[in-house]
Amino acid sequence: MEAEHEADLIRQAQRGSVSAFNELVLRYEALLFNVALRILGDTAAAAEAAQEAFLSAFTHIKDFHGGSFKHWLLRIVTNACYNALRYAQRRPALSLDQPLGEASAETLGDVTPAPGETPEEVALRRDLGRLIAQAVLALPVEQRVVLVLCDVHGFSYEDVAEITRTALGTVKSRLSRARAKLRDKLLAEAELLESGMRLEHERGDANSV
Amino acid sequence: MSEETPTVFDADDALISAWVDGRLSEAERAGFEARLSREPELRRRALATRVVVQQARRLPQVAPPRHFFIQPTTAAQPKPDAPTPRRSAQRFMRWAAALMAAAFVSLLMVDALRPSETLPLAQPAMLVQPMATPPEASLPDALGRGGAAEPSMQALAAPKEAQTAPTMPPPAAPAPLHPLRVGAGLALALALVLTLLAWRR
Repeated sequence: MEAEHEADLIRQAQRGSVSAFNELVLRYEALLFNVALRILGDTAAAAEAAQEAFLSAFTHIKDFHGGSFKHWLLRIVTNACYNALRYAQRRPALSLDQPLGEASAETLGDVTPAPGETPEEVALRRDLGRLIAQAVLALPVEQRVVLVLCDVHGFSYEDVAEITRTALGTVKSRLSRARAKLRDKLLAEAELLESGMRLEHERGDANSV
Repeated sequence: MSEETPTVFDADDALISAWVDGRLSEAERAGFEARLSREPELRRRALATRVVVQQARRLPQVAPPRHFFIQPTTAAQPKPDAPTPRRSAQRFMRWAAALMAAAFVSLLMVDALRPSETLPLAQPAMLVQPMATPPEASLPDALGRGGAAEPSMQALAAPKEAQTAPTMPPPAAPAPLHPLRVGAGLALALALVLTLLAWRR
């Protein structure tokens, strides 16, 4: 039913109906914005990429010949993100793999407590979330795109292969490498944290002696 | 790209990733979990990867700062890659200027290669000049026979001016321009004008 309604909206948009297309925008804008935000790391740049993606989708909607509309939109927004990063790369201080911003409270959003979660657990989850969001932004852009789609947004390997138009093996390889980098970063941070805490503990002991 | 070339380390990471996603076959999973119980370092990495994936999936969604609706006025605008009249005119000017420049060069080459003509019209007039003193008239002087008293018949027949006037040739008539050169000049002028117009637009 829902799929039929969407197909109907797409047909209307292909005939030039802006209001039908805007219904589709309403349906997918949060997803496109969040994907762009995790790839670019900057709210304004992500909003711009999402806007550009929707405009491009409307302009080229006659080229959509079936399949998943969501995947088609995601392909457009990831391309818009690549364009934004390439544009930023022209500035001498930035490379293509560098995000446009960093994981701030604004880009992390609100960490609402889950039912039964203690304040300490919420704080730990927020800190871990910030650490992971920062580590995601430090990944090479191709690995970042795959990890954002697979792990942050839960798309399957096959979906990501379709969205990014890459081979399934490439998606798996990029994902495992991205996860390994994130894990190593987290382990290093945890070690750092543990060492720091141990040091503080030892200092406390020495002062008390 | 080196990314697609797995190393031994990558092979374990690929296994960990597939294990986290439940993408291993029964036999693969059993073999991998047996390794996990034997290899503490592999176990540590696998469990840490699982935590990373779980935490990444729990990253909160951020509300978009605004809606991204398409405005009817925006939709009515031409595509960014569509040729506008101005862009079309510019493209035309550039092509026309290039064509004219090519025509100029071609005409110059044809002009340079065409067989050279016989003597131009102006030169004979310069070569055949009236002589100031005919040889017959000067011979008696050379022999010291008082030739000044009896000028020869040719000397008498020669015009008065020729005997006394300096030997400056008459002004040469301007050579007529060859049509090829005219064409080349026009092509060059047009190419310059079109380039200027394309640049100014």
